[in-house]
Amino acid sequence: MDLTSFADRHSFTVQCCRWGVQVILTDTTQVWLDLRKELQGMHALWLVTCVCSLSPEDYNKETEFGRLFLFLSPVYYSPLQMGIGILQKRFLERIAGPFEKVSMDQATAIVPTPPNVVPPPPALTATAA
Amino acid sequence: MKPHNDPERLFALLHQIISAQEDWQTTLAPRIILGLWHPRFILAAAKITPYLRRSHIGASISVARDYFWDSCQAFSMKFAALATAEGARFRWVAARGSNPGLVSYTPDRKDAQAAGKDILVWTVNKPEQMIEVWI
Repeated sequence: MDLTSFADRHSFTVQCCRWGVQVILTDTTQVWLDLRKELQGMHALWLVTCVCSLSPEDYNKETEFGRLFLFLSPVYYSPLQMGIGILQKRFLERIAGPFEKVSMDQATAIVPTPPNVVPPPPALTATAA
Repeated sequence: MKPHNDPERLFALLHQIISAQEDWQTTLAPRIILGLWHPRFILAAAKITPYLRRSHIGASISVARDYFWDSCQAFSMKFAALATAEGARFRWVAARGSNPGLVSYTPDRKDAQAAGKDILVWTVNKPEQMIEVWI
């Protein structure tokens, strides 16, 4: 193993993603934190393995949770996701009007203006009959 | 930002609340990211709260690419959408390339400027999904 691949793999680990994402949103935070801890240990073990030519028995998390699920469910195939995307767009358009493209020039050309806060409706007060 | 809201009024109120805090430019504003579902909110966000980062929230790669790419710094996308072939290209270009609709997707492309777009992925609840994102 050369130093380049070592460095690449290491930065990959620090960057923490095959996907290159910056944030993972989950409802099961503790599951994720525990798993991440395990994975960090795995990567450390992987690096040690590369340097020392060991083959640890517990370096198996990746195979325990393989990538097969991506191919076994229609959810992860483009046609279905495109359909979901179209439905989502229609749903949003029904609420807030048609989607229109906004160019970056249009967005950056805007001079920020002090907001004109619309006053809230006056509080209801009891009136004498 | 729920699409039911009036963007001008919503961002004006948001600005009012944020700017009322002490040292809001340095301590609060950099920690806030707007999540936009509908492109109608982009210009109002840029006009009234230009100091806040903008993110598109959605489940469609094509919508993210066609309507939000230029005006948002981050994309909060559904896991399943990012897991498709289009999602993989989107992730690659978001991290390294320019507009995914305009470039070829050759991974060894050397001249691509880093797009510098951040990606958030939701909702990753299953261990196999977590591993997929992480490894």
